[in-house]
Amino acid sequence: MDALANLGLGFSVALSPENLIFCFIGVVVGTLVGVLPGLGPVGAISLLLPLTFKLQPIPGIIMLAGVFYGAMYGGSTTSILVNIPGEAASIVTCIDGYKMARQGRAGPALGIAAFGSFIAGTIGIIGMMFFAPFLGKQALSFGAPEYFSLTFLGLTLVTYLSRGSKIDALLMAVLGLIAGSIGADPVSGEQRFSYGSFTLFDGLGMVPVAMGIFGIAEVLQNIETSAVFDREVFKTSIKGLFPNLRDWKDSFWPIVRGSFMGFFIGILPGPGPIIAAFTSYATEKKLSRHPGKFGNGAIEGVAGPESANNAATAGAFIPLLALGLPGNVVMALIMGALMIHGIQPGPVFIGKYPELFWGVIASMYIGNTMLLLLNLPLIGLWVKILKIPYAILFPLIFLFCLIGVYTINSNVVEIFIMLIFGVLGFVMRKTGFEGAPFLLALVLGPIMESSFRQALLISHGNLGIFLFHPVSAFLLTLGFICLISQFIPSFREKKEGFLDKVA
Amino acid sequence: MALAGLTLEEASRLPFGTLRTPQSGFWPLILGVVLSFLSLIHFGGTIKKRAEKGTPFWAEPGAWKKVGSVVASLVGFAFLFELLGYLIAVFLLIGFLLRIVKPSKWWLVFVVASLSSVLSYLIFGSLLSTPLPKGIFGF
Repeated sequence: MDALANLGLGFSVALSPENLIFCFIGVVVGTLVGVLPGLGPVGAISLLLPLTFKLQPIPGIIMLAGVFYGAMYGGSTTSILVNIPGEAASIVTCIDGYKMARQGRAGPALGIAAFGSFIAGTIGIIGMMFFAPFLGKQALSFGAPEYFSLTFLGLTLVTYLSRGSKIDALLMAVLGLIAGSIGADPVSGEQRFSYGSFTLFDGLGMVPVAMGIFGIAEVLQNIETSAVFDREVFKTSIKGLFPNLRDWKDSFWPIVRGSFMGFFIGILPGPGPIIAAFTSYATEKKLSRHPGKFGNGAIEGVAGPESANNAATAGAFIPLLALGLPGNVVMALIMGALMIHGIQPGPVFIGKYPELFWGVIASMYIGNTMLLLLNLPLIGLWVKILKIPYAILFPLIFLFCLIGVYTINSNVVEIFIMLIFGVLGFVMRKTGFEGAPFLLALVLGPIMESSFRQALLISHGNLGIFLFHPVSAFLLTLGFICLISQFIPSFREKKEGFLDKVA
Repeated sequence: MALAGLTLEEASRLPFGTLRTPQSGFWPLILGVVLSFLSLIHFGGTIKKRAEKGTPFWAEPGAWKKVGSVVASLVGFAFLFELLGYLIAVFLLIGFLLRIVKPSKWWLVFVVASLSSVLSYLIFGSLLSTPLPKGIFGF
């Protein structure tokens, strides 16, 4: 009953004209970003982050959240019509979605993706309503040892769930931790690795690094190949957007399974929507009575993953809002937006800022409804936008990145930082290093260090403090299991085999 | 490994403290040691992989020229941005990018570059009151 009363408060906040407008802007920008290959939700949120500095926290966070889940909707459009994922979580949708388009069934594919996303998004938001306050209450008793162990588990999980080499992912995580120690020591305030640069006194900014690694690097990788400039939107008349009874019958359980799977995977640290989509596809293929259909236009191969990736976006908010720990890059950016306004997410966040928490939840219901209403009738518009030549789009993407970084502090040095990380990010992509462990470690590093040192101060140097606290011991044990199991061949083969069945 | 060495070297200049009272060099030193260890493992793996067939770094011939010229133009923009002012710098950047990778027609370059610089100035400079540099020409 409390949750319903709070939801009422949330709707009273979310339905204000200002918040409705920013919710709308967020979901439209998110859909656009999802439709257009080359700029994912991370890049888009990085671009809009400086804008939120000028807004009140509630509309700002509502807008950024809208971009995140809006991108999941938009990504399915390019996957189905162009066979190029608009963003990473829609990679799997290309497999069967594009096949459906080639069979003249683009409409039902787009329709089930939109409806599945709506249903999953709603289920995810309901889950968020109950889980986040519950987890927040448990976390009130967390101290420095628990926070250190939680950040340790978070980083090991991110490396565990990475698709490439685990050593490389660990390397990136450690590099990110080192990068996170640039600037003022979080405990004593002493300068480290800043070499007298005023820009580095406050550390490496998350926004220039994120925009470099995920914005600039992505576009540099895209322009390498001529194919991106000659992409063809599959010419088919898009009719019959409403799936028929047969389509609903085939998609019902994939949507339900995808929703719950996606929600719980989204809570875990790591690229939740991407992992959720892959896991859903692999699961549906395994459970199907006709696995041979997959890869040849099976609607289940669209319904499940698209539902999973949307539900995961709701799950991803839970560790951030309840524990103050971002589980992925998008959440790290949203955390940045909150902290700019002096709001610290964590166990006391929900009690201290009920209008913000419940307002964001209510806005997600509204945003999901807007997306369902927008995406289907506006398919024609998105197709026209897809036809804008990439040769014109990519300079504009660079422009937005450059302005976005400059607007933070009007500091040209941050543009150089972004470009350096853009080139580094490009090299990382070519050599199989993932950027997500680096960026997450950059954000979590100061929390991890200050928790570690505070715990040692409390225990007078006794490392056993991490084991004497039961929650900390449990989290540390899980973290070490994740860390060590990555290097045991049989564990690794089983995990990679399950995900590789998607290929 | 070079980065690990740099980290250890810088960390050694900072006070380490003790386990009871860890100080600012404590954390970077631990990370430097971990990074050294991981780098050694990675280096060993790289040597093994070199024996196997590798994929070329660049996706297609000539890709390095496209990427290199784009990066150079972005760096040039960063250097000239505050000197030339927002409008001129953006116009030149967009124009260059539209010609260098997949050359567009000149009229299109002019239109897109002009519209980009003016519209973005109106949105960010006027509407959102972001302080954008005026440069030596005063605009």
